[in-house]
Amino acid sequence: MEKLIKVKGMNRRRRAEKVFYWMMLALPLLQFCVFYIVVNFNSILLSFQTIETDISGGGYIYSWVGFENFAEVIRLCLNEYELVCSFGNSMMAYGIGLVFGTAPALLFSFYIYKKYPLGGFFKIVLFLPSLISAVAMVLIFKYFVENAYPAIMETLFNMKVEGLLANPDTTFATVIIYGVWLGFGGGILMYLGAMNSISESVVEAAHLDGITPMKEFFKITLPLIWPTLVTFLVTGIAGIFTNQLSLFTFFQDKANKSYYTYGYYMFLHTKAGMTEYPHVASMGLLMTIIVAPITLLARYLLEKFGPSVD
Amino acid sequence: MKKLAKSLLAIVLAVMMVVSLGACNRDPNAVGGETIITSKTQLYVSNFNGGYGDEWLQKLKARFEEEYKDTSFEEGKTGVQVLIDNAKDTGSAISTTISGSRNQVFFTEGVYYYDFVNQGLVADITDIVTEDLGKFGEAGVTIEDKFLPQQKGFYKTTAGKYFGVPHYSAYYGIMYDVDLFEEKRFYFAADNKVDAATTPYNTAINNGNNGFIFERDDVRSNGPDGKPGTFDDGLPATYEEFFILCDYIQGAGCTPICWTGEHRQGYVQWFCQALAVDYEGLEQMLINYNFTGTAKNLVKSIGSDGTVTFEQPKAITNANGYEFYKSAGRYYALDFYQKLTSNTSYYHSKSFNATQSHMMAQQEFLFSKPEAVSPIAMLHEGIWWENEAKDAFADIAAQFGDEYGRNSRRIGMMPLPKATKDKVGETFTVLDTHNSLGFINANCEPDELALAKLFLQYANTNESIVEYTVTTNTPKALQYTMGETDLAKMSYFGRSVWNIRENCDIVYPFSTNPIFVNNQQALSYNSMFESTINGTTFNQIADDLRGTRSDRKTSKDYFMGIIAKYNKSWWEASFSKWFN
Repeated sequence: MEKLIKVKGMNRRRRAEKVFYWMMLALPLLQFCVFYIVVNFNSILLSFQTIETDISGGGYIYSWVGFENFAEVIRLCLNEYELVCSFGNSMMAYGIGLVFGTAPALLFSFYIYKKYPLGGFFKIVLFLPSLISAVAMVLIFKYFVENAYPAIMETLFNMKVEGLLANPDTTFATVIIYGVWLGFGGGILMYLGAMNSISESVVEAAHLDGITPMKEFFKITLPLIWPTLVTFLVTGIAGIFTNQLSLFTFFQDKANKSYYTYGYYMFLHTKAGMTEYPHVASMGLLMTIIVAPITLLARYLLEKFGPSVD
Repeated sequence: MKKLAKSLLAIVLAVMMVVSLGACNRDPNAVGGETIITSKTQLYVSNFNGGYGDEWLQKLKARFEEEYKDTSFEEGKTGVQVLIDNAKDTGSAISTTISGSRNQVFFTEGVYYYDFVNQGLVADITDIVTEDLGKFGEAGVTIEDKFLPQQKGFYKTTAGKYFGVPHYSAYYGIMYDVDLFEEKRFYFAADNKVDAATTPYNTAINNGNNGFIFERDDVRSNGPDGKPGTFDDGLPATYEEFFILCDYIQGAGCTPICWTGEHRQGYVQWFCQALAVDYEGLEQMLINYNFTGTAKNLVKSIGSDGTVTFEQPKAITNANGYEFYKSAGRYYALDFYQKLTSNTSYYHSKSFNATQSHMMAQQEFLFSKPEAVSPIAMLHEGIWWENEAKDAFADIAAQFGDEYGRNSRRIGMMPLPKATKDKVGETFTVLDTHNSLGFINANCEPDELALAKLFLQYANTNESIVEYTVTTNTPKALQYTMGETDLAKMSYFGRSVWNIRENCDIVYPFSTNPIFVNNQQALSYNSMFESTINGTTFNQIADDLRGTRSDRKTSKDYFMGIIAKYNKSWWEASFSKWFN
C-alpha cells in the first residue's frame, strides 16, 4: 500500500513536472511555429508568385509564375552591378572578419583569460560597442573619423585631410573597420566563457611540464574551445548573405552601389513595398539553397580536421 | 561573501529587468503626457513629428475638443479627448504596425497609397471626402473640391473610392538670407536699355559691377520669371548668373551656400531633382509618370563645351518610356552641381562632413550672420526647414536679439534659376516629394470610425487648413486660398513659400499607369540618377560629381551613363508585361 502511494505520488509529480515543462515551452514553440515556420513557408510560396497592384483598391493580384523569379534573380546576380559587387563585398566582409576579427578576438580572449595586465580594461572596452545601441555607436564612430581624425592629423602631422567617410577613397574601408571592431565584443565574450570552463588541473599540469603561453594556446586552449569556435565559424558562413555591414545605419538607403552586400540589397528591396516581396523571397531561397550545404560541409570539415582534444 | 555578492548582483539585475519591462507597459491613464479623461471619448491620432512638427495638430485638437465638448459620441460620455502619438513613423513603418495600432487617424509621409489600400489597412472615407462641408460653415464645398486634378485622378480608385486625403506639401530648393542679400546688395541690375516688360532676360551683366546693383534702390533685373516688379526681381535668372552670384558673395567675405554633409547624398540628389524638374516643366514631368505624351527635351548629343543638341520631339508610350531618361533636365542639373562643387569657396566646409546633420546645417546658416563669421547666404533645404529650426530661431533671438527671431528675420525661398537664357520666363516648377497623407485605420470599431472621420473632415476644413499654413509656414497639398490677414500672421519665409506656390506649377509624382503603380520606388524621379560608366554603376552624385575630386565623373559622362543604364533592354526586361 505504501509502495502504491509512493508510486502514485511519483506519477503525480512527474505529471506536474511535464505540465510545467510543456507550459514553459508552449509560448516559445508557438512563436517558433508562427514566426519561423509560417513566415518561411509563406516566403517560399511567395518566391513562386508575383504581386501586382490593383488600382480599383480591391487588393493585390497574385499570380503563379513558376521559376521565373529565380531565373530573374540569377540574371540580376550575374549582371546587375550592385549584385555583382555584393558577391565580392559579402565574401570580403566575411574573410576580413575571419582574419582580422576572429583571430585577434581569440588572442585577446586568451590574454584576458590569462589575467595579463589590463585584461579587465580590454574586456570592457572591446565589449562596449556590443552594449551600446547601433545608431549611437555609428554616431560616435562618425564623429571620431570625421572630426577627431582630421584634427589629430592636422595637430600632430600638420596635414589637412578629409574625414574618412567624407573621402570616397577611404569610406568603404572605414565601414569595414567599424564592422570588425563591432564584432569583437561578442566573440571575446563567447571565447572567454569557453576558456574559463577549461579545467584548471589540465592547465596546471601543462605548466608543470614547462609549457609556454603560445604552446598552451595552440595545444590546450584552442582544442578545448574548438566546438565554440566551430559554432562561430559556421554561423558566420550562414550569415554571409544576410550581413548588412551596418550600411543602413551609416547611409540609410543612399549607400554607394559598389558597397552593397546581399543583406543590404534585400533589406532595401523589402522596404520598397509588397510588389518586391516575391523577388526578395526568391533571392533568399536561392541563397539558402547555396549556403546550407556549404555551412554543413564547413562544419563537417572543421569537426573532422580541427585540433583534437586528445 | 562571494555567494552574497552573487545573490546581490542577481537581485540587482532582476530589478533592472523588471523596471525596463515595466517601461514597456503603457500607462492606460496617460498618453503623450496627457491623462485620460474617462468622462470623454478618446480619439487617438498618430502624427509624423518631423520637420512640420505637431504645433498645428495641438491647435487642431484644442479647437476640435472645444467644438464638440457637449457632443456625446458614446453612451455615458460627453465630449472628446484627442490624444496625440508623435511617433516619427513613415508610411513603410506604419504599414507593418497599423493593424494592431490603437491610433485611429494618421498624418504621415512616405505613403505608397495603393499598398495601403490593397492590404486593406485604411478605411474607406469616400463619404467624408465627397460630403458638403456646410456643417463647418463651408456650404457648397467638399474636400474633393480641394483636390487638384492630378490628385483626384490618383487618389480616387477605379471603383470610385477615396482612402486618404493629401496632407502637407514638400518642395526642395534654395533658401536665401534676404537680410544679407539686401545688406550686401546681392541682386542683379536691370539693363535700362531694354524694355523689361517685353524682354524676359534683362540683366545688365556688363554694368561694371559684374551685373549687380550699385545701390539698394537701383532697378533690379526681372529674375527667373522674366517679369518686372515681381518677388524674384534681382535674383539669378540663369545658372550662369548663379555662379556669378557665388563669386560675388565669396568676394564679399561670405559663404555662398551650405547643405547637410551627413545626408548630402539624399539632399544633393533632391537638389538636382529640383533643378531638373524646373527645367522640364509640368507637362514634360508628367510624362515621367504617365508614359503618355510627347517628349520635347530629348538629348541627341552634348558638345565638348556643354552645348546640347536636341532630338525631334518623340511620342512616349509604355513601350518606350526609357526614352525619357534622355531628357535634358537631368544633364543641366548635374552640370550645375558639378560647377557648384568645383570651387571649394562656393560651399560651406562642412557640406561633406558626415556628422553635419541637416539641423546643424540650418543652425550654421542662421547663426553665421549674427556671429559675423563668413555669413552663409543660401541653404539648400526643403520648405519645412524653418519649422524644423524653430528652436534654433529661439536660441538665436535669445542670444542676438528679436530681429533674428523666426517672425522677424527675412529668409526667402529662391525660385531656381533657369539652365539657359531662353528658358527665362517659363513658370517655376516644383515637385511635391513626400507622398504625405492623412488617413484612417481600417481596424476602427464602427463608433470609433465615425469620430475618426469627423476629425479628419474637420482637419480639412478651410479654417483648419489655413491655421495649419499659418502655424507651419508651409502649404497643405490642397487647393485653397489665404486671406491677407492670414498671410500677415506668417513669417517672411512662409509668405515667400506661399508666393512661390501661387505662382508655380506643382508636379505630384502620381500615376495610375500600371508600370508606375507597380514600381513606384524604382521609378521615383529621385531614384533615376544612377549612371553606368564603363560597366560601373554610380549612384552618389554628391561625391561622384564633386568638382574638386581628381577622379570625378564629368556631368556629360554621368548623364550619358544614365541613358546607358536606363536603356531599352532594361525597360523591356523590367516592364514588358505592362506594355498593353
